[in-house]
Amino acid sequence: MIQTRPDESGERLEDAFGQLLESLRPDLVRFAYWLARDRSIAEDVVQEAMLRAWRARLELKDATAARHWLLTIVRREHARLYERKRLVTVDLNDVIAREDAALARAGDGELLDLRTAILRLPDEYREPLVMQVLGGYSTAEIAKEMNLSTPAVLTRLFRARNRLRAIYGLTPEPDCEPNPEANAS
Amino acid sequence: MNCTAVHLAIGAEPQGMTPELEAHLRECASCAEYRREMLELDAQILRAMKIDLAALRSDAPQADAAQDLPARPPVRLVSSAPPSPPPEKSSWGAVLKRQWALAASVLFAVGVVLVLWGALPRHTLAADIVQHVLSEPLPAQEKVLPPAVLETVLQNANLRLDPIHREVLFAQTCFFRGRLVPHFVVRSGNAAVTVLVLSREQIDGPVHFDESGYRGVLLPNPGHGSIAVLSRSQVDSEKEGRQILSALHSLPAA
Repeated sequence: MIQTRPDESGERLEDAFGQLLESLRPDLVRFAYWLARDRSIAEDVVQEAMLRAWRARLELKDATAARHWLLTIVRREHARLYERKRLVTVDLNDVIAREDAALARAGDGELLDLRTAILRLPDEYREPLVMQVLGGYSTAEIAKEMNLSTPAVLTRLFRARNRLRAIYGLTPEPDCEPNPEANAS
Repeated sequence: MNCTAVHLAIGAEPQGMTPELEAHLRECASCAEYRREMLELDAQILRAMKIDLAALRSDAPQADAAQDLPARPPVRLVSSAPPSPPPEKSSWGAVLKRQWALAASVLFAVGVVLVLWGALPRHTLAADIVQHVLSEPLPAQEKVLPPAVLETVLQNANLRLDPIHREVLFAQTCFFRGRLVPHFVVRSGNAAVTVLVLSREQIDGPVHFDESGYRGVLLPNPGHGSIAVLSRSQVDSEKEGRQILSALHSLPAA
């Protein structure tokens, strides 16, 4: 068998990049899970995202920016998945029921209601919330990624949290609901 | 900045702070309380989102049976039984008997620990392979792919496979242990056989494994890592693997 191997320094860099990807994988799968609400879709998205990241590894100049860079690839890959594949339409209640069973296994029983409530958030509220809380994105970054105005993102984040407040017996803030027209990007 | 604007700002970004907001919070106890609540809620949201991934697996065991039991009433650690009488002075025979019993208990405990240790999931190459295969979403309906699909996947890894007279059901380049690896599934009889070509995973000899419903073997590919062959069905994985190994060739790097 004939095989030409890359030089040693290139190999070391590839090893380091591979290890970096593997170390960040759990974060990426969690992020994709809350976007997709389905573990196997999340795995699929992350797998595709890691392939893309691997091919584009030379574009990453700063290793400290890797997590953010990869989360963005995952988010775009998740969005692309729905363009690329005609996924079977399923009833949201079925998804919640199935994921409830999985979430119940995840321990932290006290958080089950909150997790279910997050799953039930409409995509337009859940996605910016996941990006902000789990991904550490700033409002401006979310606005750029989602192609929205910053006020529209702030409105969505406020509404997402306002819906989750009720889980903790806290009164939602109806008087603070801004004009829905402000949502337009 | 009025209270409505403050609530909107805090609800959108509980961690955010501006001099204007800070000034308002100093003067307004209800908005300060609202911010405290939202910071607490945010901490809970983050906890909720940092989910245990292993528990989400579709093949994960069902919820701990203990969780289904009715809640136990609170128990105080106080015994209602009368205190036991002081032990009688032991004879030499009784002491010896107790020591033997103690030694037997220790041996038994060591045995139990060893058995449990063996039953624990191990992070071996085989376990990682099965984990990867389990997480790979395969098409719901079995469909035979054109041979060119597998050819392309293998070419991407500088590999070529001579004809092995097997229908290809799946072929993709996957990310595994920090490397891109060809992952394909062929039909052998009625069984689907999964193959991963692991050019960076060196092993000394064949390693048979049986993990999470998959049986298979890791075969060394001298000088070029190894291949993994596994199936859920009764298949002679080693025979399949050796056939694939003999048909697998490296291409000169582009």
